[in-house]
Amino acid sequence: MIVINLDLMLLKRKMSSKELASKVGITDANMSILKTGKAKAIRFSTLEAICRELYCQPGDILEFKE
Amino acid sequence: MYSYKKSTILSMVATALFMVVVICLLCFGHILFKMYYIDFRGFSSEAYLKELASTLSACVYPGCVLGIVTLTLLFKMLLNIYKQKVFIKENIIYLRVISWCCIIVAILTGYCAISYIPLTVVAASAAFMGIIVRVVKNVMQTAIALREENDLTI
Repeated sequence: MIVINLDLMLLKRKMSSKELASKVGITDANMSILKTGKAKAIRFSTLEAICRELYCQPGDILEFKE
Repeated sequence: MYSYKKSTILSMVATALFMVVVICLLCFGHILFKMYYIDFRGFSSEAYLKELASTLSACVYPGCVLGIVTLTLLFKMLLNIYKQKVFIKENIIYLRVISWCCIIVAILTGYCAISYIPLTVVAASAAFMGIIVRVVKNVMQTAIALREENDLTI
């Protein structure tokens, strides 16, 4: 399964999820869905925006676990 | 939007009217059977007519109850559609129950068709309707899954 390590990256960058949501251009509700792992898919554009704002690679956010 | 709402209201009115007819049949069905009995008195034997009346009673009254359940659920579903709540799980449950009601009516009328052959048409129609509703339910279920996936795509 794919796990989203967004909390970890937010901690590293000392950024709140609300701040990231506003910078990426998604709602707080959608950010919460993403953080809690309820999301079924993520658009490339959203992933690109998150990586841009957090100065990281997609692999830093997404992780595959057995 | 106007025609959409108008069409839904029309469907709701039609459903309500149909429900009134079914309730009337449930309340005054015995009068209809008596009329039927008197009209046919000269053509068939007393025993046959009594058997026919009991067969129809055993089939029509439970059928009416199932019909009322079906129409109530249909009305509720139309109410949801009117409120723009089309692809919700509640509607799936309604469609599933409606489908089963149709199938039960088909079995009931199919059994009664042994004594009264014309009921075969009703049984076939009910079974066909049950299958159609079931297919619609399956389509709706898929649509809900697609919508959920779309909603959870960030």
